Amino acid sequence: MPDLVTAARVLAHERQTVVDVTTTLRLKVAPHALILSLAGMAGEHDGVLHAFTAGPADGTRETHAVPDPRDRDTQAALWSELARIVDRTWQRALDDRTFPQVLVSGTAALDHLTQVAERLRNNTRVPDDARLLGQRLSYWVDRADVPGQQSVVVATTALREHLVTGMSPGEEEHLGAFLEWCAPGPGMPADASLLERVELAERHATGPARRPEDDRGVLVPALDRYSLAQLLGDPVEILAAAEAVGAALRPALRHQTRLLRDAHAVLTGLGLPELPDVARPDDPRNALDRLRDAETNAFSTWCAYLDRPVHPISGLDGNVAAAYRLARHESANAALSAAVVLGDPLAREAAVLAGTALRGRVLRVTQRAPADRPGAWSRTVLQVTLTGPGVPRAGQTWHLAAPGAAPWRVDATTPGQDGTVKITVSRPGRADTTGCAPGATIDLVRDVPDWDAARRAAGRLRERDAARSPWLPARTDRSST
Amino acid sequence: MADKSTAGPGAFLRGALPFTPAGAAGLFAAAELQDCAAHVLMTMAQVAPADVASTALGEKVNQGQSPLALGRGNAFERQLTRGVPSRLGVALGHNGLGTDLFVDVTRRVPMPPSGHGREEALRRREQATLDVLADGGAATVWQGALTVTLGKVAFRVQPDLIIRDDTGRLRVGEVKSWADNGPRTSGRALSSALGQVAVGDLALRQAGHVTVPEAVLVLARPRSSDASVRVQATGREKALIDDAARAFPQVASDALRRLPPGSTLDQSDTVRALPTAYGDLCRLRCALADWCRRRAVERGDPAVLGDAAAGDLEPGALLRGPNARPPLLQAAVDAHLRATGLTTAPTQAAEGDPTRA
Amino acid sequence: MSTSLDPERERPPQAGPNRAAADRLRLLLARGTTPVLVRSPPGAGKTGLVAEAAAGSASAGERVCAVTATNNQAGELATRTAGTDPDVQVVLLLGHTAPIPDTAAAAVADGLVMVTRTISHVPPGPVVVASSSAKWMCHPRTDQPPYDLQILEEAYMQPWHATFPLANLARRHLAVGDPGQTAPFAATGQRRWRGQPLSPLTPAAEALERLHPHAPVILLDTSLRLPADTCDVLQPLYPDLPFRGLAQTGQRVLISARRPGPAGSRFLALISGRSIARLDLPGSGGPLDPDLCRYAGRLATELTDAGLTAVDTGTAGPPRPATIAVVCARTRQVAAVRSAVTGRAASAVVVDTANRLQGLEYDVVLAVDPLAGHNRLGPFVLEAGRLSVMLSRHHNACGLLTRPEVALALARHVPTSDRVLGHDPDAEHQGRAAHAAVRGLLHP
Repeated sequence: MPDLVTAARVLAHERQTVVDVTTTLRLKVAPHALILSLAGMAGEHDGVLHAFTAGPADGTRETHAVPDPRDRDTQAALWSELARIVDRTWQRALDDRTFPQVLVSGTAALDHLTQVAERLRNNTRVPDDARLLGQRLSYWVDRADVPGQQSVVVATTALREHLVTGMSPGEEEHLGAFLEWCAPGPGMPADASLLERVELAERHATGPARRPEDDRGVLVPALDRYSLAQLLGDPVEILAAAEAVGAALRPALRHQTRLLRDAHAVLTGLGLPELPDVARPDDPRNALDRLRDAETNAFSTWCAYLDRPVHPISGLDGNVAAAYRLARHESANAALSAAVVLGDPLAREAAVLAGTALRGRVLRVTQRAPADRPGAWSRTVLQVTLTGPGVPRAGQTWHLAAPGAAPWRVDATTPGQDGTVKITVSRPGRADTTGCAPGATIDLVRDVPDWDAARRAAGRLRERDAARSPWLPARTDRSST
Repeated sequence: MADKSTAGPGAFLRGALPFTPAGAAGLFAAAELQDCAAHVLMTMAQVAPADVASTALGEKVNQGQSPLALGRGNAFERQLTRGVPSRLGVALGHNGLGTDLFVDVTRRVPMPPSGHGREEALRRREQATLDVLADGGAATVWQGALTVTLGKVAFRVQPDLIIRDDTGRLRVGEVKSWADNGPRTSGRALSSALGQVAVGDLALRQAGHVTVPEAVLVLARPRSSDASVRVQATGREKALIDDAARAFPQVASDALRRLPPGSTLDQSDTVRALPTAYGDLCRLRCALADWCRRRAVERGDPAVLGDAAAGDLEPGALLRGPNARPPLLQAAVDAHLRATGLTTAPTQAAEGDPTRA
Repeated sequence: MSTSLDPERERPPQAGPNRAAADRLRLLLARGTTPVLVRSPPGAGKTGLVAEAAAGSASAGERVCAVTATNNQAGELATRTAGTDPDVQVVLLLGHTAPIPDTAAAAVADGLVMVTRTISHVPPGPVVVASSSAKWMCHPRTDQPPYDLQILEEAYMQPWHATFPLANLARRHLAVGDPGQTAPFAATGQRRWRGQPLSPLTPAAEALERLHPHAPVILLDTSLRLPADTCDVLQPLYPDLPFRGLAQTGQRVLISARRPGPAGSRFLALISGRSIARLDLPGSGGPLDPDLCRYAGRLATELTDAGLTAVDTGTAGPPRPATIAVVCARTRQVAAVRSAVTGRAASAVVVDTANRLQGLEYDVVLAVDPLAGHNRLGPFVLEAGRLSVMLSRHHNACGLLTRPEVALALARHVPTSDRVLGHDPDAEHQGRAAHAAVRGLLHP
């Protein structure tokens, strides 16, 4: 059977507009998130930055360009400008006791940022502000991998987490094309079909890489002019030529920035309720709050480490660092997935279809051995008709998808001849069967979010003294965070 | 400069299109797209899909690399082979691939300054390459030339490196100026490089040599002027290009049989008559992608939703529209609507949908 | 319903196949060699070998900790160890809320295996303690390793990151596993570690071999479970482990008490004289091919109603009622199969996914082709380990239920998963090659 994402794509195709793939908000984008548009240079690796536009989404953005980033001094000047703007973002986060949030266009932009970070963070041959910039970018780059993180908004990823189009996932990586499915962009012909608008949008680059024809037609002649001007040594011409290079770069940056602002508007205007924490109805924080709290904690911990003489920013993880990191990521993913299946109706629907969540209509309820002492468990037999392929097995624990997410331990499952199933469950305390009366439809999920699991997993690794494992290679890294 | 020669068995199909045989990268792209009879036929007719797109279909096609990237690539290659020992030699030596004999075929057979005589020069380069490989002993051939044949159609390829080890087995290598960024290295760029190697490997096998299905990749080392050498297995790419070598002649013949006599690939009717197979790879590999996507949309081909979604749907599923969806798809749509509270259509409630007011 | 067969059957014989390997293992352990790796094809008596090693070590006065991937496996190992030497103290260590696994229920009830949920309650002195890696991770730090020998079971299924932190629990280490099983998997993106030969998700056995290239590797070369022709079919999935079947082709047969229905008759005719065959159903099935699944369910029902007896003509073992299982790749397919399993078969036939049937065995297995019902194949679908599990659960007969379109889809498949610079096992390509090789050997 096609899954729900495929169904949503079909709907999007039929309706010629985006369709929701979630019924709750997974990412809260701040009004003042740092919008960062990047321009690299074709053929150059090592995170060369030719120009950028940066600034808060709700404020003024600055554009800076250098004529030739292959020259170390001019490249360093650009780093300084970016460092200054990032510093403002960082400071605001510290003052507000939250975390800095950055918005980039797509995975290519994030990869480019990663290269810049790697080039700068431990580099003793760059100015101090550039090195600090590298460390701060490294923070973002590291956070981007963590499931549920809120610091790095990769626009295409964030949009796809909430919406789907009638295109392929690969095509959705083009931010301009994706946004056309949300609404026609400025300058699009009024009578153009959606596909025509997508094709027009795809003619513009949306990340650090430029189109070859733009390089051929505009940038390379400007660069040649600048090189010649430097050879001739005329300061007026050098200045003019430098300005011409900037002018060649600015249209693409403006376009990228406009797309980012549009993406920001879409993400902040989704109108979805925040992902709840169904398992803890008495806690005023919902799941999205917890994700944001985790972000704030991670940021403050990182800043505290930054003050140490040796900052353990990891590049290529050694065995120990990798084990810690994977434990953190897996725990974060498990908690987020559990919260999503519990709290997002569409995700629950998908889980029922996949058999990882259960849905049943209750036909009969028999209460056995009601618990009447503290700590005891009561036993209930439910006769249900199950929807979906999932079947509970003896020994498993499921949770009712209702506020509190009460655990149900399955003692036995007996299929009936009539297609129904008898499930014997034990539940803590005196069982309240009002939610399971005959005729009720109940959903059961496997997991509830454990927001502390990551901390405990790291604690176990420390307790196990993983760094001293006799199985590790002789020269092993000792970084353990 | 467009070569309107009548070379090759596909000449009758070209019409006004220039003779532009695929190189190693183009051949591997065609192998990846071997489900698409149109692309296979263009390859075997030795025309560039970009020329077909622009001439026959009126598509606006922008091809080619940025001059900055080209310049960087050329500079990287020059740096690699400069000096004694060269950076390339040192890098290969560190990886156990160094040989005492290093033959630069471009020096033995320089290319003429103008296009005239190019074909003869390539033929002589190929002979020089084969001569070096025929001698015993370990050797490295830099920028040689080989011929790979698909059916009766010959294509010339120019691998950057051919390394023969002490046992006489050969490995093909490619030099790329993009950086060795480990796991973050572009999978797409890597795939293309490995594919080019696989094509060179096929050419060597067709010439009777014993090869090792491994690519020697010479890449830029980040934040350094040194080279990074990686040896990578090419099992996947070898299997694909071997499949293509077996299948292309038949696929091309079958496609030709659909065409009326006298058809040429510069005519839109001809191209429209050819079967195509739109998929995720097309946008990365073929200049007709936009045109094929439009066609797939018109035909209700689920491929427009992506390969993964298309795998869950029947062919033509999108043509039926919201009122006649296949049952399994309808069930999935119903589940989606149930959860999101949407209607079946923007303006009307779904029949029996209790969630919509 | 667990229908694991009588563990007595799987105990390695005192003399016979794999005995030499068992003896070599005993010698290496007695000498204190560490680490030692055992590579085993399916059904070679690996668990019995491990139980023997654990019991032997404990009876020599040592403390042994056995690390498994799941509580079920820990239960199985505890039961087998207790059965090997009832004088050895065997403890099953479980999490606080974990139920006692089916695989140990009888042994616990009989008092052969002790259950504890608190590490500090593990008795002192010689003992074998079996537990999952997750539970072992809760073991507090100690100045000295609290155990003499650590046995890492299913060492190709368990990932490096979950096992290397446990190594300091013991002085010596033994890793045992089947390299054809499904590889470790993480739900979160693995991009960060791609290309590294030693990553957190590298199978523990591979990681150990990489770090200790001179460690002795013992190869078991005979499957006690799988007959010879099945071993030949599965050999492409084990390129570094040549193995054979103890039972000859055609040695193990099925006898029906009653004439089965048409599907059952067709199946029994197909499988006559061999232990594994391909059952091609005409037509096309659509996404996940529910019709093929329902056919499997009906076939299982007919075979159950026919009253099959499993007979091994090469041994003196008595005939017994044949156990039947249907194995699928996806949960939704399991549901489709179950909807067509009726009557007595509804409680007698086991229907489940390959993941859940790992480690279990049956006389007759009907495998719904993992590639069926997919217009386009991808890395998950092509995973060779799943195919290996599906086709290696049987003693007497295995039928791969499939469609002709599957072979076409496989032939036309173009891998599209990203290539990785560096160490790249290229699972999609390897999976495709494995599927093609196995199908080339499977005849209708």
